[in-house]
Amino acid sequence: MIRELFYKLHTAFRSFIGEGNAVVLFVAASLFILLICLSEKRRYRNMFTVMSPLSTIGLAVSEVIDRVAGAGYAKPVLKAAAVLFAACLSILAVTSSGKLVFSGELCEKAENEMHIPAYLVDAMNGIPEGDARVLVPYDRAPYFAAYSSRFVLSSDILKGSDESVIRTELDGIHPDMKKIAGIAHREGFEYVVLPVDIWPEVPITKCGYELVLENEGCRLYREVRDP
Amino acid sequence: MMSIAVFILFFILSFLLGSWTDTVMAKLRRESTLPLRIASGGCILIVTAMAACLIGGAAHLPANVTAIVALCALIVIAVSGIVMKKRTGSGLKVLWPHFDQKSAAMTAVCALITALQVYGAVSYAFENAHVLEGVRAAAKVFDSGRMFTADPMMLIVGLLSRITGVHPLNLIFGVLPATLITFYYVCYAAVIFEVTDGYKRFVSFVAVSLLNLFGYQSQVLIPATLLLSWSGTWVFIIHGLLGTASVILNACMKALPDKVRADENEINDELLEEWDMKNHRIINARNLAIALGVLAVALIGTIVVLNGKINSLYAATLNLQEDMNSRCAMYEFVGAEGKVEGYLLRGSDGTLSFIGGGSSANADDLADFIGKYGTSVTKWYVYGEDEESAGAMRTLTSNGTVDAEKVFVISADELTE
Repeated sequence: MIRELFYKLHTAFRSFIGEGNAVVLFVAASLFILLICLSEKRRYRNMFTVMSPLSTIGLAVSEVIDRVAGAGYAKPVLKAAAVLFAACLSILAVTSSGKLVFSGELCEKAENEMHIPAYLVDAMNGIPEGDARVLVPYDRAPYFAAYSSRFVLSSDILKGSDESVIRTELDGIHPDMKKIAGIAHREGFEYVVLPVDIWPEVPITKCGYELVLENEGCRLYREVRDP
Repeated sequence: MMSIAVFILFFILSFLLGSWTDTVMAKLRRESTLPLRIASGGCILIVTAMAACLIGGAAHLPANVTAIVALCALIVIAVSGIVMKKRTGSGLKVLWPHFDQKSAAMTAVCALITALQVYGAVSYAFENAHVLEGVRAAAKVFDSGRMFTADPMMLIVGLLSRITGVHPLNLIFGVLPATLITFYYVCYAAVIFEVTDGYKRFVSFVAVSLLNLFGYQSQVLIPATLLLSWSGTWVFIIHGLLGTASVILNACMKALPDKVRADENEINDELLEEWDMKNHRIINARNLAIALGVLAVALIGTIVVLNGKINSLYAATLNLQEDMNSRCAMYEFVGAEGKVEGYLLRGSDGTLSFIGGGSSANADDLADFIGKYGTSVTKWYVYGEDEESAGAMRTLTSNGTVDAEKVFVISADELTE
């Protein structure tokens, strides 16, 4: 039961904080600094430093290494080894505090100065000037919103069951284009942007949309209107 | 060129506005440092710009008018700060009193670490599009030329982009990283200089840099992660404002009047005496602190272990559904009478093939079964042309429930045991 309790607490904690280690590191750093003050019987006059979490951790790291370096070792080699060990331990604690900000999994070389994938810029430029209602996958929507305010996006318009349907269908590799096209027609989305890595049973070109642009990352469709 | 110009202009303005901090620190009988002056000046600049943008947004003013208002406010604050500083005659403590070789080397390394992070922020794009969530406000100001109520930092970006004609995304990823990331590290330097000395300053700075590089936690904390959201309001608050404010509050704390300090010393002496007496008991403050420390370590250890297990489970299930969907699969169809009447094959490219089907009595069940996977069957194999073998197929294809591209009849006479 206690294990289940810890599991629930940790899951809730992790879903909000993520890896959680940096917050743990901050708490540990604060406790360490407090223990230093208690052991030296002095009041810590820089208590407001805890307002800056990373500075608190940095301060604790420097205190750890300083105290290890200041300990009375007989031989210089032992002292050097102790300092190196303390430094390695600190680096390990700090670098395991979260995911790498710069890593192959999370980022890649920017294709342009805007940091938007080039294929999306092509698609956005393929939509003529003026306000446009666009149905776009939810993970691509922020790019459209950041590029121009003229796009009225499905992520802003669709709510409730429609939003759920679009999210579910576009998350899979066999989306039901009839459902997607039905929602798009009903809500007046003139343009639909779809990723290339999907294989729908029925293509959207059979549901009232025509292909306007295709590149290596996405396809842009426009609603077919009667002349 | 624009990024260099913005960099120089920002830090000059910050230096001028930071004269207020020199005055405040002089009143508290403390000396200001160069990092603190620039950090506080930068915070004043950004807060003033935020206030002007929010007022402009509330009044739906044009961007140009808001820019003029902000500039006037900044000039007034800067000039009055310089005048006040001259009146109080406050000084400026040099960064390092003795700028020797070691200090120069440490400063150079810190500058290099900062420069590398700026380079990384400019050259590499985060694959998660949610880092751009707030930029739409800036895009709206850029497109419309009018202010509105939104995230204040994004309003500043929108205002700058409207004035300069540079798209907000180009501004955020091309022009501002050098200025803002360097500014936030100056804020950290202001805090570190206040609370540490000697080589510990360098160690603290390196630890802070490592935390920024490795400290990405979760989607929720993206707005507060320096190297992902340097143009965001939360980054300004957590990495800039709070640190700078902590230095000034620490200075206020240290500037308590002498009488209060004397009383405090007397109280501290009494507390020490009491602490010494309590030290001889088993249950005393020291032992309780040790027990608390052990409990905290145990709790931290449990969380770390559980976190590792949850992460490995999450990684294993991450692509499971997508992996299943991308493989060839076969499903068994059980007819109305409880017998296996056919098999559905789904290829890795998503195409469907069906074998069997049985009589028309199975039509409804077969329609529901096939409907779960699609509405079109590329190839349909039936065991004969009679009602018993092909009844369901004929019913579904004739009423349009299922679209069969090709139908093959396997004659039972040709099958030999």
